[in-house]
Amino acid sequence: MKKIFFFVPLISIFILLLLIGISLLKQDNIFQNNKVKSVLIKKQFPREQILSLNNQKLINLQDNLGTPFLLNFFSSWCEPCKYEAEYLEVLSNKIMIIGIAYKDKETDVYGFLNNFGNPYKKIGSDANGETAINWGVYGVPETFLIDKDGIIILRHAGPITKDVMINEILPKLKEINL
Amino acid sequence: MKNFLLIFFFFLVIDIDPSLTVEPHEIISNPIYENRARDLSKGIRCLVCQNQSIDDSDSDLAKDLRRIIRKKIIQGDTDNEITQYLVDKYGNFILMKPPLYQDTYILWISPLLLMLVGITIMYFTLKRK
Repeated sequence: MKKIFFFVPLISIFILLLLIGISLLKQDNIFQNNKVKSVLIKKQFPREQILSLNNQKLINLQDNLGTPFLLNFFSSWCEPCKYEAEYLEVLSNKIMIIGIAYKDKETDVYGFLNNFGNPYKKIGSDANGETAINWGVYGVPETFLIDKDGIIILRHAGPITKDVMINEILPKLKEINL
Repeated sequence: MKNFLLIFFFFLVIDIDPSLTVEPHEIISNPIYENRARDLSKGIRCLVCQNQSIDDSDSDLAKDLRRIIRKKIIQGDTDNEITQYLVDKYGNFILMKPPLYQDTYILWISPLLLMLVGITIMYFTLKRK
């Protein structure tokens, strides 16, 4: 009986290490580049109507079903957004990009687009941040790739760098024949 | 000593309600709704600060989440529906107290295992003495 007791700490620590090991191996599922992976991946994009930037019409994202597109949350006040502008420009030659101006003013957005280029086919406005929450967004910039069936196949939180474009986004575009 | 006690009680008093972050304009006039919102917010993680609940955080995202929770309460959603909505968007990670599922086994089991180790070590040490 005593001998069994002796092994309790050893066995417990072994189980603990085993669990830590398993969760470390699985961490890739929860975290991606130290960022929490979006749970929306492989799911249909949130159905909603977004007010266009000039508040004059509604943008219905469902209208884009059948065509893959990138959805990019950005702001004129967001520094990293300026940085990713040139790469969005490159990507806009390959895929339609819809921009969502996050907590921004119309005039500021147009100023931003004049300075850094306009890669967007359509621009929606998310004045109070609710659309962003509906997409599980943490902050700007954040970009989603939606395939022709309306399924989110990639989410990138943070600016699109040259590296991200070449190693993450372009290979995914290739996967969907773009 | 007197100063020390004063300071001590000061911090004791200001700590009664740690959430001084909920701004007056956010508060719903219906106290039952407001209490529900506060309770829910305490269980929701501020994703950009990660170790604070949105009830304690002053970040923009936390404010937006607090506002959404209040909006949904007013719309008549149940607490479960609201929590589920947030989990659907941000994953279980948004819950301050993650549920027991495959990825969180270690969180729940490790204290028990460590307690077992402790008890066994204590048993042997006391016995030897």
